[in-house]
Amino acid sequence: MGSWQARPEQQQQQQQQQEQERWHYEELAHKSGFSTEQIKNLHKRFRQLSGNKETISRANLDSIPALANNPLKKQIIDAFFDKRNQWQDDEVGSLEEIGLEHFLMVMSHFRPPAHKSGEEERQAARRQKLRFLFNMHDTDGDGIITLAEYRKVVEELLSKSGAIGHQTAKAIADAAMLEVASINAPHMAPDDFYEGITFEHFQQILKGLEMESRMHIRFLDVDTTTMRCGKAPS
Amino acid sequence: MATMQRTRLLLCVMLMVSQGRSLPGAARSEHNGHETETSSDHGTSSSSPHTETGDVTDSGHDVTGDSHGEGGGHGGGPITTLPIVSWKWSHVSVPYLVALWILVSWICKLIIEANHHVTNIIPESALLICFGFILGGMIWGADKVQTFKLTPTVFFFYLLPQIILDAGYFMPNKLFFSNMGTILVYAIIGTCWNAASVGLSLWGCHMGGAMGDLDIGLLQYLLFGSLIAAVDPVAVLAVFEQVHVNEVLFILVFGESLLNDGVTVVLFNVFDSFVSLGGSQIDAVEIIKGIISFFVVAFGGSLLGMVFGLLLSLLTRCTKNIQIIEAGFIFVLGYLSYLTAEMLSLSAILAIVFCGVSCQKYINANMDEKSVTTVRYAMKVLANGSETIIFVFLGISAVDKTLWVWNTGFILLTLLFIFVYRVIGVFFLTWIMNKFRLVPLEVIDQIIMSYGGLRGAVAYGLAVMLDDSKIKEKNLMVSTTLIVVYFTVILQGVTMKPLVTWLKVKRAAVCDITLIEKVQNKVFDHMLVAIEDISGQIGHNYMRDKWSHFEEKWMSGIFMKPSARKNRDYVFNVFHKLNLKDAMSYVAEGERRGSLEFIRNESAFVDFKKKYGEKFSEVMPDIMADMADDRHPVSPMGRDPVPSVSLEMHEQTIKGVREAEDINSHHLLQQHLYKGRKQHRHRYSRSHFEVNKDENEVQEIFQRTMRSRLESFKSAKMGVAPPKTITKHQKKDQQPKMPSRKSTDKSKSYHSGDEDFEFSEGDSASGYEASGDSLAMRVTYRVGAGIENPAFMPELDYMAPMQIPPWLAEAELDSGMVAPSQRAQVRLPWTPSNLRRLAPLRISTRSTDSFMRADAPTTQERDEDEFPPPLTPPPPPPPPSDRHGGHM
Repeated sequence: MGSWQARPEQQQQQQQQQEQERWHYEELAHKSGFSTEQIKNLHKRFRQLSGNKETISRANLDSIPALANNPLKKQIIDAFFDKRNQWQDDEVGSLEEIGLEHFLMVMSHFRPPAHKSGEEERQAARRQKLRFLFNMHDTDGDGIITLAEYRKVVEELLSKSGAIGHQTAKAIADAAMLEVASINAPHMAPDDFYEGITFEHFQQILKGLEMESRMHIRFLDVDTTTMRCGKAPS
Repeated sequence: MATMQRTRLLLCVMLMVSQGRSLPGAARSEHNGHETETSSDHGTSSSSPHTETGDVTDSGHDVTGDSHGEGGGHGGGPITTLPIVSWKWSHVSVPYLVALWILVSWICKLIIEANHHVTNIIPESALLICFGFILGGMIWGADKVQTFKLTPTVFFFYLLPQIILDAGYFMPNKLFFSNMGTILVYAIIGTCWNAASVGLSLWGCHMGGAMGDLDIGLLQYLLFGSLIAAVDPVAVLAVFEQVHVNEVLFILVFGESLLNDGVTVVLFNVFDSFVSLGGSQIDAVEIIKGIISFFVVAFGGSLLGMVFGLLLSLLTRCTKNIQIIEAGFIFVLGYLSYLTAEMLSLSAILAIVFCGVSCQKYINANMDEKSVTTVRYAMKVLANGSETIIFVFLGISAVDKTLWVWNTGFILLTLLFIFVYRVIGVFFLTWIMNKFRLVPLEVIDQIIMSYGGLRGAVAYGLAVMLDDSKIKEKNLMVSTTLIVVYFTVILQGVTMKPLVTWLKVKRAAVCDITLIEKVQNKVFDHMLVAIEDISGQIGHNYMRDKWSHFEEKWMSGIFMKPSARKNRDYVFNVFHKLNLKDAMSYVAEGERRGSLEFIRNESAFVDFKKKYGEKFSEVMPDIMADMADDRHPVSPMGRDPVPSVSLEMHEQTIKGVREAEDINSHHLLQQHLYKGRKQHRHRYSRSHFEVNKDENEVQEIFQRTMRSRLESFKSAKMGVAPPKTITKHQKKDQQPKMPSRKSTDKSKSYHSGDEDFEFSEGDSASGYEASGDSLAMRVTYRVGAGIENPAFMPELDYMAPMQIPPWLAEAELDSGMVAPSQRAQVRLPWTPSNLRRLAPLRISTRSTDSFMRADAPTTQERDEDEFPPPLTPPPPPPPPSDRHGGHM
């Protein structure tokens, strides 16, 4: 008898859970701007990556095989755990593990803007994306990309491209940095030195860069994760 | 303007003169009796070529080489006596006329381009066509028959290939392939739609009785529709190049115009054979065959082109020993791919496009830099030249009474339908595409796209190729095609620019490449891939990443010289280009100033060189090796006037300072500088440009590069860990230097001029050399491409004080004002002793200098291109060098 009674209860529970999940999704959708379909897909991927846990750790992301060849692997993964990328500008530091919400918030940096967005929104979105990029370079979170930080990124970036030597990469990083310095601080007092790229400078130098196609990813409504199950670590 | 008038007048006169003889000429042409004609031409005026031109070229163009054999008899006729000179016009007529026409069309272009007020409003292509009208009118006036026409053979075999090859070779690959989907949709579906809708609507109107009595059936209408449907690459390129719309829009229109050729050719062939078969014979099987043939023609053509492109890449791997002709291979193989595709009845245009696209990367890496430059220029010469000829001849062809058949209904309706269906097609397809595109196309872009549907010579060529035995109204179709071409090229071409301005279409940003942007682009690429990986999606980025991995791993290995592979990274190329630019501007500036004293103080570097020469040859022997056998020329400036002059100047500076050290310095120089220009010999040789490749020279330049890099990184370095200042004095010296570094950087920089001033105190020459050198060296820096750069050696920190120019450090020691720091002492052994005298002078002026800098900093730094007027009067010219010539 007990089992008979348990069933509707279970059903109810399940229903409730589903309800809750949907509600949860909607809330997330509101926060991140993804559609619930997209969130569902990303959630699936999230579970796949984390091994059905609530949170995801660096090791989980580290073990994605497709990332193995990516020169920016470390920076990207760090970006996921960076508090600054959670759309709250004031916090600095990094998290050990992130939940679905954090995961989505980071992903949402790459969401294409809504089709009919005003100029102002577009500017804001652009700013956010640049901020993400900036944070990726600024590893210590002091608001300035120093030469050392920048150099590190460039070196890693170029390290995978075969023949470019370590030293050349450094030279390129330096030259780029000098470029920034000259664009942003063309007239410094003789005693100054250029400490590093601030976010304002960063915006300034990338002013001409068209961001629309460069920092957007089409998040599909259709589930493609199954197509790559074989490759996924889980 | 005056020149223009005059030239026009000249042309008129030339043709008028020939007009006098025109009638007999025309009459004779019917007999084709060149041989006899020749003898009678003996003493006549020199302008006669123009008249004869007519008949001969006609035959020459139609059946090329035909008249060659005919006139090959070296004068012909029985010889009775030995002629001293003889008039052999027919002997040379064909090549002569070809050359003459090329000259005439290019001169047309010259006249047009002489005045930019006109070309700003009316695009060049339209003007060229108008010139064609004028020329055609003259010929018509002279011959009463249009003897020159753009024949399909000439157009498709001799004029079109190089234009398309040029397009393929300079294709921005990434842009092209990332918009490939959209381009293909426009090219395939859009063209089919245009062809079908125009054909059917015309037929419908015909049935409705809108054009009176015409003998054109449905299939013939469709045939006409298919030839008029395709947007023409030549016309599009000519107009859009002058408008500068944003690159995505450009690539969409241009890519479409290139790729839709495959479709056009197939449609044309299919309908052509349908027309021959006759309506009753066509069944489902034939239609399916037509569809299959489309895929075969289009993809077969592309594939063939790629095969040729890759072959070409392989070939250039081993042309090291025949550098002088390696640039020619691309033309030959490109042309062969075109002909092969034509032979196999595949799409020749697609073949040559993809030949260019697939080989560009590899051959640019494989060939010598000079050859690459040669290819680029030769390609442009050929493409631009034949484009000019095409437009002129399009104009000339119009002036022909026999051609014109006027049917108002047909012509106007064609124009209307072409325009309307183009708009409908573009908007409908874009509406669908926008659901899939990451960056949707805006309405304005769509308007420009539809308006940019220019028809051109390809359509005309196809129309002329129609068989008039099967198509009764061929002439009507040809004249309609011509009208369409004129309408689109002239009218739409002229209105395109105002329209673009009026609609505020996003223009292409004209900006210099900056290194940081390129680096960021790379960051973007990798980041997007990573995010796609993490989010578990297969998107464009994922595919692109996979492709580039494959490409990197296999293709580059096969098709690229191992030695070339290191230089081909994009970021690195930008880096290199910027460096080259620096170097050029540096030299230009030096020369502009009228003297080369900017290298006067070279000795400051000698010590550097010496030091590094020794030090680094141990540390990194591979650099030295690399330097020594580096094939890449070090940019002309590296070797040209600078070094040879420098020896003298240099010497004499020193000499002015102290006699005794002269010998020392001379010795030093002889040891370390490469020899002067005397060794720079030009030999006459067909296969070599021999230049001085002195090992020492290369090394010297390399050393200087090192030096400059080191200096320029100082400021950046500062950002990280400012070197500790050792003594008061040194600090003082050091800091003023900073801004100068910075601007050097900025410089990446164009202006050597201003930063020089920053420390051009006292001896401005020294200032020059610092920045100047850094510029000069950047060039060479890349020579060592993949090599380690001493500037970044781990012991950089230790070398930090190096940033204090040696002479300064030296000065301090010397003047005894400050106790030498430990670091300075470390450096001591390498600093040149012969510069001591110069040093105090600099120090003394330093303070004023920094004032000056404070005064006028902005202008100095900001104007990158123009050099601000010098703050300090230019230094007095060095005493004539020959005074000390004896020491050399």
